[in-house]
Amino acid sequence: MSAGSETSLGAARRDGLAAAQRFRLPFGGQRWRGAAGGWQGSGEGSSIDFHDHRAYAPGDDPRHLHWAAYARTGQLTMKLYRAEVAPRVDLLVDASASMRAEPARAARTESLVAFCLASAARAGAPVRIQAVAGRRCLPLAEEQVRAEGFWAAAGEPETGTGAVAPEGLQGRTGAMKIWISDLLYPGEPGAVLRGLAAGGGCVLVLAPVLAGEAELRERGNMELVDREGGAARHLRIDDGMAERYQAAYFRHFNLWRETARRMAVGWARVDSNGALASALAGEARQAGVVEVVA
Amino acid sequence: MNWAGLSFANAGAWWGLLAVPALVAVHFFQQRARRVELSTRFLIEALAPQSQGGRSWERFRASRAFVCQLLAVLLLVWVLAEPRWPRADSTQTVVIVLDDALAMQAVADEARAAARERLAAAVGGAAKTEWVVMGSDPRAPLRYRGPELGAAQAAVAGWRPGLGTHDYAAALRNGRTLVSAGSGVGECWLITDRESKVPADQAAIGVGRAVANVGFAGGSVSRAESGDRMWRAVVQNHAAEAQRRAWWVEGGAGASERRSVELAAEGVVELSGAWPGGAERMTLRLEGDGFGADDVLPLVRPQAKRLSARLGVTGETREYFKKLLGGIDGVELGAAVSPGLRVVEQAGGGTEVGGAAVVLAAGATKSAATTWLRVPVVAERHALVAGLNWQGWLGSGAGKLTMTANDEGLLWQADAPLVWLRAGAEGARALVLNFDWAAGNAARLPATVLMLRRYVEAVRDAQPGEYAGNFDAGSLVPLAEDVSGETAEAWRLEIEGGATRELGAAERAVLRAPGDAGFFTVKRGKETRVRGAAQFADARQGNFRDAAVFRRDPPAGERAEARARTTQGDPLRALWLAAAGAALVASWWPGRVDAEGTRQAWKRGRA
Repeated sequence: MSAGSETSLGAARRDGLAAAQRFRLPFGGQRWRGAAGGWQGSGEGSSIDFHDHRAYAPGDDPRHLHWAAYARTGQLTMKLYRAEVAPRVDLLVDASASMRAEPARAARTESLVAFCLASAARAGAPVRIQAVAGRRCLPLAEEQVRAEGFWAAAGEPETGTGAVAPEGLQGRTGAMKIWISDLLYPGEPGAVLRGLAAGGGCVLVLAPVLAGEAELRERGNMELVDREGGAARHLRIDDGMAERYQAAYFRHFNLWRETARRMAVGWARVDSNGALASALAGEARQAGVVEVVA
Repeated sequence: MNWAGLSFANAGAWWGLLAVPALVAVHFFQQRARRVELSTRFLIEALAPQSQGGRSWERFRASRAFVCQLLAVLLLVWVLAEPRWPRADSTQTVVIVLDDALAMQAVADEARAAARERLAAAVGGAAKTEWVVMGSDPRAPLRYRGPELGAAQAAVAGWRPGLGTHDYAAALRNGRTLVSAGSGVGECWLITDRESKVPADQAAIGVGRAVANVGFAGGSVSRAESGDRMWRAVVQNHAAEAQRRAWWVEGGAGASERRSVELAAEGVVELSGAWPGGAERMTLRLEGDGFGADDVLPLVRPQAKRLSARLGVTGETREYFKKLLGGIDGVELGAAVSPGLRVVEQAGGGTEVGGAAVVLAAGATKSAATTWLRVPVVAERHALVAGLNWQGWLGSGAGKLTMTANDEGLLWQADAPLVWLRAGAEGARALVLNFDWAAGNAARLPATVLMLRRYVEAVRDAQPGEYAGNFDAGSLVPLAEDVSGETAEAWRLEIEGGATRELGAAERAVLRAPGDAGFFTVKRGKETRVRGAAQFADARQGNFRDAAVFRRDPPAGERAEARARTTQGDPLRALWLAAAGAALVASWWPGRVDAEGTRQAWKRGRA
């Protein structure tokens, strides 16, 4: 990355931190498992939120006997409360060439990573970060990412692989698994989402997109070079081809959205232009991928 | 849209079509592939999975900009060419003047083709067209005048040139008058072979071509000193290079053996020989070349009309006239009761001789006491005395014969008439010599001899009768009408190997020899009057060195004015201009969706 890019990525991290002032990851609507924390767990715990009743068993904490029920029925009944846990966050970031080739998308990715880290930190959720490039997953140190930024920590991507779908994306059981990717690779979205959804928890997909990418602006004979693999191909782009391309582009993302909806995966495109907070206020907020900070 | 009669006022606008290949070339080079990096190429692979190469042949596929620019160029060229359609009420006159000169025979087919082309080109110039086809011979009638194009083309097909060098001004003036007398709109074209024949501001098409022509430039039959007849022919080489030609004689016992003649560049050679024994006519022939009209020289043995004469004088005067008349072809001296010519003496007063006669003033005698009159002799302007020198006249003055008011004086000495013509019976005229023939030197004066010969020859030729002669093609053939005893027998001109036609009275007065070399006969009933040979005699017609192919259009101003009067412009011109402008704007319009369009597309994509 050049010095200018680093300056831009630094601004992007600040933009992500600023967005974290307004929005957070949707920790509130989930039942989490994990170490004690400040978020409702999926089992019984010691919080003040009522969870259920059951008959008293020897060894139960007598402080939680339901005295009012005993007075009415003469049976010892225990009041159960929810557990309070700290959710775990698995942040998987697409580090392929297409993600960093466009400065706007690279910056948006940087700001999204910063947003997720800041939001997880506020929730007290430990974060595990992996940079995904094709079929390779590279674990990154959270501290390094916080200090240097995602792209600096991820290093140079593997080139020449072409646009391929990531394989073996998995998160920890019960964790919030966030997949930040432009989704610009062929293949059926369900395969990726099923891998992420395995083990329960929450799956979120954030796709930094470029508005101009939805269309082919130029006309005429083109030498189209794949950013992922560098392979070139000659093709004439006319209005008909441009229209078909645009339709295919939207069809591609509609397929992702429908698949995510069917699999109860939070999915949202995030415009790479403008402030992240403004971008999240749109489709991401409506889809419940982010929540407004109270 | 009715395309009939469509014409273009500005044909130069078609050069604008050169923009089309230029446009193709520009797009050809512009269509070289531009390098674009994409993250979404996998989407395109799904759209165009085949090897739809863009550079090798896709460049020929029309892009929107190319199509729009091509459309704009075509529309602009169309508008700039100023298409025009004939007005419904417009009329024009198209006159084709075909050069009747004999030299056109060498390019007659080309001339006919050029004329037909001009006729065809004028079709649709106006709603109604009057076609005129005429020759450059000012004496010839129009070959066609009317509204039928087919008839005009037939007239062109039937045209055949055969005239010598002549003036084109009258025919062209007539042609232009026909144009202006009609609607005032039209064209008058001269189809010729040399640009030097074309007056200034005259539309013309030249169809000439250079021909290395060698031909006869003239021929004659004369008597040698021995009395035998000889033929002579002049052969001229019109080419700039030396030529060699074979020649031979046909006539009498058949064709002679071929001999060759060498001619230097632009050289002239005279051929001569004895007249074939017993032959009335002969033909000299040259080896053929590109111009055949002068490769044949027909000749007839000349034969004058027969004129009977009777001498009514005696002594030296009789001997003088006997010798004079005996030297004139066709004159037969005798004692006929009604001779064609008499030579008489009269003493004085009026002369009433009745027919053609030479009347001498009688009574005077040669004597030593004669007083010579020194006053010079003055001649009137008359064919009999034209060009004659009377300076040496020596005489005693006018005689006692008196000239009447109806007489036509020829020679005067002081106020007294010496010679005059007196009208006689049946149109005959007598030549009155009113001076002492014996006293002066008139008999020895050449001018007197020539005047008398001219008179006798005029009397001989004016009488009806058969004669034979050699004529230049197209020259006048004198015919003598019968003064009395006129019958209903028709006059005919019979051209050997050609047509025979009757001659009306008007044509007989100015009968001309055929335009082509050959033999012809003029008959009245069964009686032969003329046996003639028409020969190519205009050497200028055989010279093709300045013949050329050229085209001289009418002045542009005239054509534009005529077009404006007979046609109307394209009523959709403004629409075409607007369409061309729109096409140009469309070609320059960015070929991508604008920002708002992108947002709308994103919304559709989300929907």
